[in-house]
Amino acid sequence: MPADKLFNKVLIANRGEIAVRIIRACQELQIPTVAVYSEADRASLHVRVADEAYCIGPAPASRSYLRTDTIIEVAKRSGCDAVHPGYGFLSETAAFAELCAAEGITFIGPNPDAIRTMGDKVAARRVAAAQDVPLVPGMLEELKDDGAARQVADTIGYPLMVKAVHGFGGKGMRVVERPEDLARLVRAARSESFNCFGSRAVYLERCIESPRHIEIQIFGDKQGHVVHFMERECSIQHRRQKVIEEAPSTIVDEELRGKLGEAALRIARAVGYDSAGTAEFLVNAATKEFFFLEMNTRLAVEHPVTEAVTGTDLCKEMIRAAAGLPLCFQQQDISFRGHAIECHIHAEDPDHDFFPIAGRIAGLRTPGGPGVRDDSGMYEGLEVPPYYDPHLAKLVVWASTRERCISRTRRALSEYFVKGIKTTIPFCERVMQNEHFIAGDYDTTFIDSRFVKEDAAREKPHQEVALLAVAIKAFRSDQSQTRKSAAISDTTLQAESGWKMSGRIKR
Amino acid sequence: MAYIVTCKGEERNIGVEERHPGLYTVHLGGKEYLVDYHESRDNLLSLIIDGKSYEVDIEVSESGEMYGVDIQGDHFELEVVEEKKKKLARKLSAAPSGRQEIRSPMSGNVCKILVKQGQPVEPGQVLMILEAMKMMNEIKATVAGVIGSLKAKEGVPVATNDLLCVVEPAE
Repeated sequence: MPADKLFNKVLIANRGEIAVRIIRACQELQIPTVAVYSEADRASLHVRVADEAYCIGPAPASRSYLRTDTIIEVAKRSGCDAVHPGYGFLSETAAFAELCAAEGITFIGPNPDAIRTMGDKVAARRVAAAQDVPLVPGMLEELKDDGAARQVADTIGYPLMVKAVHGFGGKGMRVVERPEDLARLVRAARSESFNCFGSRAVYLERCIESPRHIEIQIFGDKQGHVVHFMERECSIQHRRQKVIEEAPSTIVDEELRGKLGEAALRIARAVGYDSAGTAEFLVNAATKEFFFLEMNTRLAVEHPVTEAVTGTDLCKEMIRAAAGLPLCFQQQDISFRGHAIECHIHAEDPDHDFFPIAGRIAGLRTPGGPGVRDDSGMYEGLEVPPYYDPHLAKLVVWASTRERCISRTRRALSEYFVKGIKTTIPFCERVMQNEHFIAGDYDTTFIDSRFVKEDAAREKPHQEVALLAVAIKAFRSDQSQTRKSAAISDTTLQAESGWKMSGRIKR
Repeated sequence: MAYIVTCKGEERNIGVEERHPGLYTVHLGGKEYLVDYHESRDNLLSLIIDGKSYEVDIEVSESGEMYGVDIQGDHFELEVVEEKKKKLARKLSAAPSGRQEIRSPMSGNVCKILVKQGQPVEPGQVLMILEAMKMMNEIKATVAGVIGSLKAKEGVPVATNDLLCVVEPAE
């Protein structure tokens, strides 16, 4: 293996669970790894599992994980010939990919032109339109003049979406229900986009009501081959953040799968796509109509779902493709086997409006057993810093059928314990028990509308157990308090007699 | 010992007796339960009740009276007070004030304040926006009232549990 080593050393320009995931892939390929970390991340797991680690600046990402100059300098100093950006941070920054190339370092991801074109959501829409891929109706250029917004909006129709041209990850977006809210929400989207992505550019498109969010995993090499790994269903979203994904989708049949895959490949070929990427679509479950939404030019957060259900290691393939190796699979080699579900474990309190929680992980028990994979950046004693997104881990479960996969996911979640901070584990457990989820009857609005109501109204069969538990807990703590104060008065008495004794000796 | 446990506004009387360490007789709602109790690690309990095994995840507030309980995905928020203390507390404060202190659930940056001092607010009304972990988080009122003092300032960072504002009961 070392004789045909793909790279001498790889720098992972990321943190947390995804950095650990990439380090694992490198280790299996016998490539040494370099971790980078901010001052807030000295204790982060990725620092420990890498072969080398270098601090790249203070806690705010703008002064550490987004510092292209520092990261390139560390890569050169430590002898890295490749950089893997993970997801988020610099993963979709074309300028960073170009800078790497200029310094003779391989950027493990697509070519900079593909990143730039697809990173501009309006340009991406133009590419899709040119390939005759159906689009969400809306603008094909950015909204330049806010005064004209009203007019454009009237043509598109309400409700509509204001979206950041350079946005991703569900940020910099607003739904506009009524014309009178338009100006305010355009401003809000512009400002959030500027905070997150450094650009104020937005555009308008129609809000497709109650769609399914279905995405196609694509993969290309530098020889011009592109294949797709079929769909992931990502409609279980909370405030536009994906929380649970599964594959295959319950609404995608062979015909739709073929159409979506073909559409994704046409877009990928049009930009010479040469790495792992994702084409996102909105699908009407009833009519099976689909609309291209956008393309993400990076390793997807939810890539393990596809890995589990197609038996591939996308992260490793991505490194091979970046090294210039041709794909070792053809379209006909790729098929689904069984079913996979992924649950995002976030540092958020699901019983208090999903408020993000930073703090110390005081206790941890991770699930195991057949078909269970835990991609995590957690360990017992870790202080979760407040500066970054709340991803802690992803639980990926595989089973031969969807029904079995749901029960196995429930089982795995019941084994997963995180003490010290609140996580989304209980929320995922409740989704797995929801009858609509079990029936596959859901869309992107499901969690925020129907589920919340059903969840609040559902029976809680274990209330008695909770009452018994807290009463005994309180009793035991009162008992130990009583014992402690008794013990203290004992030692005080002894101490007093001790003084008297020494007094006597002196005398 | 006797306790009063409040769950969703409903008070339940619970009596606990220790048979021997780890085994308890508990009286609740006219029924008697024999509970085998083992604390596997701090605040992670294993209970065996009539042969059924439960794993219970508990979180206790600093005051020691508020408990957050998670069992198989279900979450309960319970107040536990010893019966005698509860009676004493009742005598001391005949009328509950309804004053609510809004504290920051985590450290972050107050990016927008949407209310003014003296303004009446409804339950669920968004009072301010706290930016934390790259997300804009809405801080909401849980009771109806009037904004008493407003401690938070726009653009000023806050730490976990910092007082943001007080909602006074409306007259």
